[in-house]
Formats: sequence, C-alpha cells, structure tokens
Amino acid sequence: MKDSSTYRDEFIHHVQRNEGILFKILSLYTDFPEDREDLKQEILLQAWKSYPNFAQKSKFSTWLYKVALNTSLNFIKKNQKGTEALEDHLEVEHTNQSGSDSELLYLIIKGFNEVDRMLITLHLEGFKNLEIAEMTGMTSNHVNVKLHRLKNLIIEKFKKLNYA
Amino acid sequence: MPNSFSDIDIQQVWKEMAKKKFKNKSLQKIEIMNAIKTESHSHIAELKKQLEKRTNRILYSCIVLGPIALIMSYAYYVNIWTPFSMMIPFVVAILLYRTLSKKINAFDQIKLEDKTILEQLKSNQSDIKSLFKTINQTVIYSFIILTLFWVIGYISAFGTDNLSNMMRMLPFFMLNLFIVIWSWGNYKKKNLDKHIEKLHNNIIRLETLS
Repeated sequence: MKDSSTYRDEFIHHVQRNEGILFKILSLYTDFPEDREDLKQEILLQAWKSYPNFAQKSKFSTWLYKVALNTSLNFIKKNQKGTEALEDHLEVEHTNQSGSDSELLYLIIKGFNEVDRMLITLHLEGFKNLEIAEMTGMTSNHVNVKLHRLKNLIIEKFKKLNYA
Repeated sequence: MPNSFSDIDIQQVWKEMAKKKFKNKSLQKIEIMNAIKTESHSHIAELKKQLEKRTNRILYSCIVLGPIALIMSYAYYVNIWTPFSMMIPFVVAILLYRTLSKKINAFDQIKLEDKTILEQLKSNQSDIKSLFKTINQTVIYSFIILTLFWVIGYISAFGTDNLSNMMRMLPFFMLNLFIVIWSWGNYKKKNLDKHIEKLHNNIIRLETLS
C-alpha cells in the first residue's frame, strides 16, 4: 500500500512526463492566458481526482488525453470571442505570421469546432481510428469519415493559404 | 506515419509545431501541487456552489421566520387551523430544501471511470436536465401546496363569508408565482444555457457526421 505522498509524487511524475499533452490541449482549446490557466488547473484537478480510477489498463498518456479532452469539452471560457475571431481572421493571421507550415496547421486546427479539434489532435498524436472510437464513443465508421473529411479540409486550406 | 492520400505530411508538420511551440514550456511540480489542492472552478462546480447557496437561504429563512410564525399563530389563535396553516409553509420549505440539497449533492462533476467521452457528456447533460426538472417540479408543487393550505387556513379562520376578500389576494399569489418562475428562468438563462447548449452541440457532433 503506497502512502499518500508517494502516490501524489507518482502522479506528478506521470503528469510531468506527459506535459506536452497538456500544453497541446490548452493551446488548442483556449485563446487567452486567463482561460488557459483556469483550464490547466481544472484538467490537473480532474486528473488527480480520477487518478484512483486509473487502472493502468491503458497508457497514462492515453488516459490523460481522455481526462484533458473531457474537461476541455465541458469548459466554458470566460472570454467567448476568441475562437470566432481566430476563424474569421485566419487568413490575416497567417499573412502576419512567419508563414511556417506548423503555425498554419495550428491555426487551421484551432479554427475547427471542439469535437473536430479533438479528433484531429488524437489522429495526429498517432492514435489509431479504432482507439479514437473507443476513447470518444463514436462509431469507427464515423471516425473514419470525419477524419478523412478533416484531413482533406486541412490540405485544402493549406493549399489555399500557403500557395495562394 | 505519413498519410498515403496526401501530398502534405500533416503529421510531420504537427510534430514540428509541437516542438517549436512548446519547447520552452515545462510544468513545475509546484504548479501541479497547487492545482490539485484547489477547488474546482468548472461550470458544473460553480453551478453546484450557486445552487447550494440559494437552497441554504431557504433553510436560513426557516430558522429565522419559523419561530416568529409559531409565536404569531398562538397570538392570533382562532382554531387549530391557525398554527397549522401558518406552519405548513415552513414544512414545505424544509422538504423543498431537503429535496434540492439531495439532488445537488448527487450532482457530481466529471466522473470518468470507464466511460467514453460521449457517455460522459451525455451523463453530464442528463444530470443537469434532471436537476432542472426537480427544481421546476419542487417550485410548482410547493406553490400549489402553499396556496391550498392558505385557502384552507383562511376558510377555517374566517369562514366562507369573506371569500371575496380572499379572492382579492389571488393577483398577489399570481404575481408571486410569476416572479419565482421569471427569476428562475432568468437565472437559468444567464448561468446555465451556455453550458447546456455547448454539451448538446458536442453530443450532436460526436453522434452525427455533421
């Protein structure tokens, strides 16, 4: 039986090893530092509260993704205008950016709705479609179709904005 | 793994993005420690807190007004219906408090367990809907019970001769009912509709191909 501080340290160690997941989700689901800080605290708190249920059936990273995405889908931003502004001014933003592909990809994904953002993030993080279906509760057919559409949309926007 | 259908390796670009964007960021132990010690500020947690505060007001009102009503009912005693009809509102209020408190306490936050994200969103949605239903029902039932006992109390104290006086009070009751329904609707719209709409939209997006 682990004592509480060992248990807590183990959790912290796991989270720190997977901190990239947190940064990606925070960055994709919030637009302002205040919201980002709130969401970060909420994800960490929910992860800590759910940690006793983490039965190590899956990898910690998979589990953390699930907690983080679940919390993000339930999160209400204090400042609501961010996403719309981002979507509306994607082109302007890109023109003002350094023009790097990675920045453009980030902006395109950020312009998607929350569920599409989740699907494409999981896909780009290397999860198989079946794993995404199991994690989200969608049918694998839906995952296949949606991802196909999203990838085409990304490529289309990429071409339009990058090579216009 | 490159996408076979695509001339742009999105996954490679994604990796580059993550490397560039977050290379200088790190999560400190103290940040995690502080976060796990804090209270939840999620919308559901805030809603729970707000509702707890409001239902506690029912209890505090009973504690303050209950003894006054008891004294008044003996001071203006006509028959056994006088204390009975004066105390009934407090019994109803306590029952209302108990029902709501139970429901609010059971209304937990994100419970992950073995649920999928869609199941979790649906469970949150059904929790909120069931809480609304309970609140609506308890408010309406309480109002009906209170009106009924007020009429019984009035008739038992003054008989049926002065029924027209009692009828004059009807607009006052209707106004009260209107204020209660309006303020609850307003509170719900201001605080909860955004959350319900977001849950609903995300569920639809997960369930359909739209």
